[in-house]
Amino acid sequence: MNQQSTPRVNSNQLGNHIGGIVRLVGTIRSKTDSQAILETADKGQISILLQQGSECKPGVVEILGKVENVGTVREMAVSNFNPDFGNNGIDPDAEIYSEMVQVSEKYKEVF
Amino acid sequence: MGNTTTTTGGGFTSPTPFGSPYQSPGKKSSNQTYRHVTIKQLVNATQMNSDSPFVVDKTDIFQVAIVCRITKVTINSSNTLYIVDDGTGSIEARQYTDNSENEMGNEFIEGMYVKVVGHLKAFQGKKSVNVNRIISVDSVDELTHHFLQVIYTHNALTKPSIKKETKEPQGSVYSKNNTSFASDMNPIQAKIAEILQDNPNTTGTHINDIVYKMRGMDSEGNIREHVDMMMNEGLVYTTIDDDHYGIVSSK
Repeated sequence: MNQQSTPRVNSNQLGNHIGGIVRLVGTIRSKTDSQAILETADKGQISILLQQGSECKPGVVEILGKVENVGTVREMAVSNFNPDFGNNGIDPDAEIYSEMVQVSEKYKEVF
Repeated sequence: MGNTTTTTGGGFTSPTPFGSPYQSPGKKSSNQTYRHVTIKQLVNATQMNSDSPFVVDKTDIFQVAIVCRITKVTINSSNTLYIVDDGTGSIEARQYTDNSENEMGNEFIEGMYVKVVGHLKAFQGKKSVNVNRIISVDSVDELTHHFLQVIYTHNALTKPSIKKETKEPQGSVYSKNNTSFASDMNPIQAKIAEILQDNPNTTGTHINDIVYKMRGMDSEGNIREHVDMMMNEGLVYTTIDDDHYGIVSSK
């Protein structure tokens, strides 16, 4: 099995993964057929270049994609989730998620 | 495992690093217990010989749980093969089916996030998971919870004790074993804490024992209420069943 690492990151870590494949979780704030703005769990605004026929729906998603630059990720795959996550700005779930991501950085032997 | 005197017999601080209900190491695993791991941990798991259990973080694994995205589904006559990826790696997960299940069609498809509970297998050096249960994951909170459990369990098993944040005690007198609890714990709860601490058994202390040891200090009803309050605050937890309690070590 090809063991490629596709780490979960926060938007502020994208600079460390240029050219790599990452997982970003957040809420889609706006969307056209070719592009979406993802508000990540750590409140970053990232431009997602959507693929043809993308299954990205408005709401809470995980984008698996290639990092083009610190503000842009090109979608390779998307997973949709329940909308109960950071929608009202005071929801702690998004904060906890982004903290989990940060802590997981310290455990390279596990993640 | 932990060899400090503050840990309970099983060598773990609590809450237990295993999925509930509580399982002490060395016991045969029941259907319910599993350990939260990443695929990377499974891929790197070692095995003394082909008959011994796999080892992750120096501890045998029995049933494990991963939370992962399905990247491919292949339906075969006797099993459904999922390829899954959790961001740390990729692995095959096989669910053996009988004929009746096959006819119902497959509800788990590519792109879905799922929790897979099962056992690690290896064949000719290649690892795979035999699926016991597969459940769809609909909320990001489940990812958060799983990966936090992974980190917690990993820490619990690779360090002698966990440093837990506690409030600064202000002149607390009940630090018999040099643990510190919230300074606003009342004397009844402090006594309960002491009773639980004195019991080194991972099976915990029965509520009746707690009540007996505190006879004269308060009514049984009040003591039970205090134990409930301590549960709600995350200071104590139930062990082998709902009548047995253990204390969360703050070291």
